[in-house]
Amino acid sequence: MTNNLDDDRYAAALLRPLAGEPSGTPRIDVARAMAEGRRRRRSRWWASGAAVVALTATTAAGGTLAFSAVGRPSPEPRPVATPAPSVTAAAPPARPRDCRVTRLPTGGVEKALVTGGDPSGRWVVGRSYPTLSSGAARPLLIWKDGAIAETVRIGGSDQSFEDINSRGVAVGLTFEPDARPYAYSNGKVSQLKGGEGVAMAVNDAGVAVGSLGPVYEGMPARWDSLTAQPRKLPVPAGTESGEAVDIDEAGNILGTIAAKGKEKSGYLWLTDGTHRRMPLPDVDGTKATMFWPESIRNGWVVGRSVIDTERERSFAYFRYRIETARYERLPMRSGMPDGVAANGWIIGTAQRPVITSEGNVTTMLPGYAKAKGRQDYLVESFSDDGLTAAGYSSGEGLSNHPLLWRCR
Amino acid sequence: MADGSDSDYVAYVHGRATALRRTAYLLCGDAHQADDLVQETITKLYARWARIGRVENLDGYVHSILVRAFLDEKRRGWWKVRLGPPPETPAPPAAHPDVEERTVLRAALSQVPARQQAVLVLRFLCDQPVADVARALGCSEGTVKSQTSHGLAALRRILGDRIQIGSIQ
Repeated sequence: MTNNLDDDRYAAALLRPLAGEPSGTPRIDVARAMAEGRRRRRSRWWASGAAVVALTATTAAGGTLAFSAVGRPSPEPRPVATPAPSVTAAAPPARPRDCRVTRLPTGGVEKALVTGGDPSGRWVVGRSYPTLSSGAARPLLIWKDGAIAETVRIGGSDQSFEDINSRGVAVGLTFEPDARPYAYSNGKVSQLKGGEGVAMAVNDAGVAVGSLGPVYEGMPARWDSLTAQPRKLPVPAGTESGEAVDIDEAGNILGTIAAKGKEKSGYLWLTDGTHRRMPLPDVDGTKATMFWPESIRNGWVVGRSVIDTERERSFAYFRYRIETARYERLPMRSGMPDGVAANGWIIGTAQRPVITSEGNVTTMLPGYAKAKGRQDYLVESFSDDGLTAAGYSSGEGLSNHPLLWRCR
Repeated sequence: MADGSDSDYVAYVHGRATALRRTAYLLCGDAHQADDLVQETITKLYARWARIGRVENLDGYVHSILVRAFLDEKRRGWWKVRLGPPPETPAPPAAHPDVEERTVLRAALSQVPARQQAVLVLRFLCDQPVADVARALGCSEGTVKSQTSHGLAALRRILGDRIQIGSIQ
């Protein structure tokens, strides 16, 4: 019956009976969409493992302050007002104490936020929103020891640094309009090789990881150096997409992969050359549908399990040890895990950031008192000693403050 | 151009709701599910609205959210139970031929893999160019063409000779 017709005409004719308008009155509730959208913006649950588009409850409401107010990067970092915590402290504290929060300087710009930090706790990267009229360009900021060290401009739009190492080498992405992976080192911006893709993390050895291809639909990749050609990370047959999201100092890589028709779940590429799916933890006797990892450090991984039932999706929080392949469930008061320190401490987000130390002891970090109204807090970085964290607040009027927490 | 304000959002959604609902309806074949899809789409849109000023092609972007919401829902299988009768149990012969044809077609289409189903609907019911469909699905134009061909083959296989295309000129 189709001999004389090409596929397109056949398809159009075949499907034509299905054309038509939906009947009845629409049940679309814009107010509810806004309320729910606002909640999701804060909790970022929809962003799942794709931190690239983990939006930041931000708007271009930076006010009218000119960004030129930000000083030129000084060749010498300013003296450290508060000494950075030392990882070599003889007796590590059993829990963080005397935690204080400070707003990172923005050179007078009202709205800025943090997008990453390094394991020493000295370097932090972020983004500023100087003026409403600046369009898509977002000057990127690098802070060292709590002071602005560099202001970096990358072409394209919606630029961000996703990570920085303890040598001050940062990686990230911009949209031109396809996503492009970028690096910043010694005062120079360079595009990583491989075309469309994103760089999500870099370790102290300068190995960057991320993905190649369109955001959401790419494949996990690593760059052995900032000038190297990328290498695709091995994935099991049937993998449709995936990305590497983090790398530890040993070179173990954390990411997610998705098989055709499925959502993403955790995956590990280890330094011994093996790679495997992260197992799915049991949650109260039910095997999780997926595991969404957030961070890897010194053999620890933190993240959350996902259980889908007929009508709802629920999460539980876990710390995973690669060596033993065992999950350890975290109490709800630990908040949704964002990062793990080399010592195994976890930082999570509840109403405020929470550090979970030995014995599941939780320490809630202080809020930023100068911010007006109710604030939500998002954590983007956690130091290896578990004593320094960086993130930002998100409050009414879509304001953001870049914040640094230090404990003793 | 939208600048990320709430009033812009409300104006945008009101202006596009009918078109979004129509596309959602063509994708899923059910008015109530179409409303759910649009609700999810505009919720996601609001969550991202703050930086929407940076999106070049807003309609294309929103369309892409809608299509992905449809794919997500299909993937979760939450709608399986609410779809029309499968081809094995066609509507009673007494039904109006057009209604029966639609029911059989819709049921068959729902059995085609989700992405192929989306490609077929967007291209042939929504009359969208291959390039737009590729953008909505985040894949290449070549993939859209191959998915069209696979989807059509699947549809033919599922339908067998159940449907005669009398209306082809």
